[in-house]
Amino acid sequence: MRTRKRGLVALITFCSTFSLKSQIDTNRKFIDTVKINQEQDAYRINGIGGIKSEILNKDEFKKAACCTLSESFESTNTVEVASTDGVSGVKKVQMLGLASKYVLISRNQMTLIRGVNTLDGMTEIPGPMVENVYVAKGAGSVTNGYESITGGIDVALKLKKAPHLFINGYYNNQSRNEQNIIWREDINKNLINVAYGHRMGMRMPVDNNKDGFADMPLNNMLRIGDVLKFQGNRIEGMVGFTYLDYETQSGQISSWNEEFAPRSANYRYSNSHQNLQLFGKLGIFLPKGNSIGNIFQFNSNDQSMTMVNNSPGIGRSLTMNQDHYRYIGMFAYNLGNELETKSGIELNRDEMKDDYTEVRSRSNRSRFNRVENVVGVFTEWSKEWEKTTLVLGGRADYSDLYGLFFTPRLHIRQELTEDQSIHFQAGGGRRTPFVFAENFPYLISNRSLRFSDTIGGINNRAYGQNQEIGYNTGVSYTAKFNMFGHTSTLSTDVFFTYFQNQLVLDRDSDPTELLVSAQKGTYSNVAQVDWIVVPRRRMEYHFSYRYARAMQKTNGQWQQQVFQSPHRFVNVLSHKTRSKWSFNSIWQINSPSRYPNSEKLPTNLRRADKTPWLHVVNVLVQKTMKSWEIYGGVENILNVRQVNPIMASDDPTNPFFDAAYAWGPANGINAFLGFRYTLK
Amino acid sequence: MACVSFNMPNKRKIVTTTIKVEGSCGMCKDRIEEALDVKYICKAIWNVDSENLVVKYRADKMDEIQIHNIVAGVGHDTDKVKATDKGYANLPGCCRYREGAKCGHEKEDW
Repeated sequence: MRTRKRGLVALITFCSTFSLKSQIDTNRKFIDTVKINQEQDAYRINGIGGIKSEILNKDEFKKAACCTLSESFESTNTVEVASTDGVSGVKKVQMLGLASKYVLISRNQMTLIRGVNTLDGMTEIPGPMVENVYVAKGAGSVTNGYESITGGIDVALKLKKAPHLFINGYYNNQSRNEQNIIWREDINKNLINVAYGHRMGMRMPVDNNKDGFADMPLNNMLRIGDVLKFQGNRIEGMVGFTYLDYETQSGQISSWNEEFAPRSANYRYSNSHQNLQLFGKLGIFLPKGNSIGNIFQFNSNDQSMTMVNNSPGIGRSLTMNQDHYRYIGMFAYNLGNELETKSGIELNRDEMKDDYTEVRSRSNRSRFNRVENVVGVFTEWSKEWEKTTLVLGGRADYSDLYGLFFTPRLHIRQELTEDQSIHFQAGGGRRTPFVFAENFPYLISNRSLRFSDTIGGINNRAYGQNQEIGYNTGVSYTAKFNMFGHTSTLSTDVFFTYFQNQLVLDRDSDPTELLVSAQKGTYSNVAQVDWIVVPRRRMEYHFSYRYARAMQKTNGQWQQQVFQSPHRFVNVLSHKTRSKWSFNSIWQINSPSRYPNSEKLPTNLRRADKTPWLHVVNVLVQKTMKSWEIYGGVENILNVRQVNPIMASDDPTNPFFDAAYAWGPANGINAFLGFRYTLK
Repeated sequence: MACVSFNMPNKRKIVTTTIKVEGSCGMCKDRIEEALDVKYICKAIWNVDSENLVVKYRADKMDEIQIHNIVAGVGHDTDKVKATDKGYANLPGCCRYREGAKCGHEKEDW
């Protein structure tokens, strides 16, 4: 769907001091000049910069049935989103066939999702606050840190382009409702303030698949934030905060009393998450296109949850507290002749506490505390020739837990013709694990957690484990050509990720155990094809296919990750009328995936080897008026429901009870209605 | 459906014509095609390289000169009508074909 805004917005491209794109995009001629800013296609594949990226803008989000950042990826194959289990409502996000913990997820180039909010984080970002999302596969730029292995997602919040007032409401027939408000105030010509507010709630339990458990948790989320942005001739920056309070309750509703009080449930799950983020950025412009950038950040996450069985006192509880401090200082120097360098330092301090208790016949409490300080230096060189762009970067970091390590990254773009290009990239990354934060939905089970081996010094190293270390390489080809008189885009890529050390969660070896083991040689190979065509004006079709082979050694054999479809198709068809009605449909197809090994389960609980094919279709209609937009639609119109996302759902005291057997939606069809009011 | 032509023996007359339109880049293409996205014009495709605009329209409802006027109104010269001054003045720098402007690649705004 093409939407364009007439006229010019003059933008001084300073912001790029920090931006991933400009860190990689060597088209620096544009700096210090006025740039044309035209509203673009909702979904684009950008093959121009040194690093290939996909861009989803706010119009693309409007195709998604609902509201949060994790749900806005419904229309792509690059970022896959699926439920982790049948109780918590947590969505797992995957890129290149691997969990989102290997993806660097940032907000305006500042760490957004890391550590405790690894799994919840995407759900906690309301879509209407987002202007653009940039998705890049592969390890990315060293200036953004050493932690990304499979990709980077940068979320640009509405700032300069924020409307003066924006109000949004969403309601569905399963009692989910959301409200958003954005308010921008131009204090003077150098200073703007943008305030955000978001509330989400789900008040009534639904059990459409009749397994006795609520399909979606009851929840209540409040998120507020404020950003003050200043812009002068030689200086630009921002300071801001966001605060989140998110409560979730779920469990067995067959025993809930008439007031739907989850506390009376036989098995109940509750989760409470508070997150405070403070951030600041300061950029100073020097003559000749040189600049200095600074980022300051403090993130505090507190999350506690319980999974309790009332009657016989079986259950577990988990509390996680994380304080993360970060500073980046970077100097960008233009050497002329299309050669430039960016160098800087990064300081990180992470204070992490996990407190986990498992109660069965006896109580078993384990506490893990760690403080990690990391000091790093990095440098990145980029050079542009007529048809070739080269970006070479490296960094050295010293962690007081893991010692000194180096991270190299390389990107090459070769233009074949004006409309065709090839990107090659290679790089490594490593990360300190957050085992509980990354896996907590799997604790909604009677499996007991076990680390298969530790390298010792539990409180000196994270969980007594080494860092996860992975390498990634990939090639992509992008072509634009004319079809039906309109530009059509074809993109294909192949990516290989290899782990020198990966922490694997083994659910195959023993159905009563969650085994965390460190493995060498695990890998994920992914190929993807995207084709976007405009068959006639105001109509667009996007076809996407991806193949994934992500192998780990569980139960003594190499096999595909649990519940990962090797083949996945996404079809998006959208049409707009002249009278500003728009129609969107998304059809996702997932091929059969494997269940956890069931050999050791009692015969009555055993499942088939594979899940069936899964088809999910969403449709949405929207009418745009002057300052109002009204939309409505149906999610999962085929009413596909998984009846048994929970193993032994009738008896949560069963030793094989496990909520993480989910491969599809539990709640079935639902209809929704919403509005947006925008005062420019 | 203004443009559906089958089974309508009466007055419906759909005509395809080619018009030369000056312009320089993909942004111009979008501008021209979007301006012609009006009732009784079934299809409008402008080719950047040949500068040919192919228009399919309802000849019983509008005249070809109206198409020229629409295009001229958004700043592009056609083989029959010169762009209005206001329209041309509104063009961004990279679309000023009279000054020989040529757009490079689309640039992203981060």
